Amino acid sequence: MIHTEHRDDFGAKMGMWLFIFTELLLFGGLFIVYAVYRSQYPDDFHIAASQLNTFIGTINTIVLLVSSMTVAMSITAIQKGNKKLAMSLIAITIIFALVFMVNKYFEWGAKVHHGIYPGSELMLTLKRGELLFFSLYYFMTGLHALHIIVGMIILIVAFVKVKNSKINNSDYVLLENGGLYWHLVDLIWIFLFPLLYLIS
Amino acid sequence: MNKHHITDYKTYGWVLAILLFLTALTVYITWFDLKALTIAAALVIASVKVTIVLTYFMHLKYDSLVLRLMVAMVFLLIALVFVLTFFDYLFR
Repeated sequence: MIHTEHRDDFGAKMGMWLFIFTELLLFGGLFIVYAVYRSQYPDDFHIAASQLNTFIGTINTIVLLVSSMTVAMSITAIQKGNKKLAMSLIAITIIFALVFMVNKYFEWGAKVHHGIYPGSELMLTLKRGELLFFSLYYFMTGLHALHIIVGMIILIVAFVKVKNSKINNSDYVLLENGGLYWHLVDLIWIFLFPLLYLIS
Repeated sequence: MNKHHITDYKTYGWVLAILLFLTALTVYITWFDLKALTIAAALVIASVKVTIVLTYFMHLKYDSLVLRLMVAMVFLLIALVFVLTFFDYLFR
C-alpha cells in the first residue's frame, strides 16, 4: 500500500521567512528611529550609551552566537538520525536562552536601581537626547527579550516533538523553522549590541 | 525536495569561531574613539556577521534562489527607507 501524505516543506519554510521579514521590518523601523535621533542628539547619545554595561552586553552576544550554533547543529543531528544528540543540543540552546535572560535581569535591575527606568523621576530630569536613548534602549532590548522568551517556547515545543519522534530525520521542517526564528533573534542582537553598548 | 544538504558540525564550529573573532574585533575597535570611523567600522563588521549568520546558520547558501532573492530584497528595502529618511532629515 502506498501511503502518501501531503507535505510542503518548502512552503512551510517560505512562510517562516515571510514572517521573519515582518520582524525585520519591525526592528528595521526602530533602528531608523534610533539613527535619526542619534544624528540629532549625538552628544546626549554618547553620554547615555557610556552608562551601559559593555561587559554584560559582550557576554550576552557570545551567549547568543553560541546558542545559534547549537540550534543549527541540532538540525544536522536530526538529519543524521541522531535523536539524543539533537535533544541535547536543543536543551543547551534553551539553557543559553535562560542565561541571556538572567543577564538581562541583572543588567536592567542595576539600571532600575540607579533610577533609570521608563517614567522614573530621574529619567525626566535627563537631557532630551539621553531620555530618548534610554527609552529606545528599554524598548528595543525589551522587544528583543520578548522574542527570546517566544524563541524559548518554540524550542521547548521542538524539544518535546523530537522526544516524541514527531520531528524525525524525514520530517524536521518545524525544527528548521524554530531554528530560523532563533537565528533572527541573534541577527537583531548583532546590530543592537554595537549600536547600544559599544558606540559611546 | 528530498535531497537536503546536511551541514557538518565542523563547518558550524568554524562559523562560530569567525563570528566570535568578529565580535572581539568590534569590541576592540570601539576602544579607540575615532568618531564616525568607529561607527562605520562597527556597522560594517555587524553587516558581515549578519551575512555569515544568514548564509550558514540560516542555511541560505543551500536554499533556493527564490528565498535568497526575497531576503536580499527585504534588506534592500530597509536600506532604501534609511536613505530616504535621512534625505528628509539632513536636507529639510
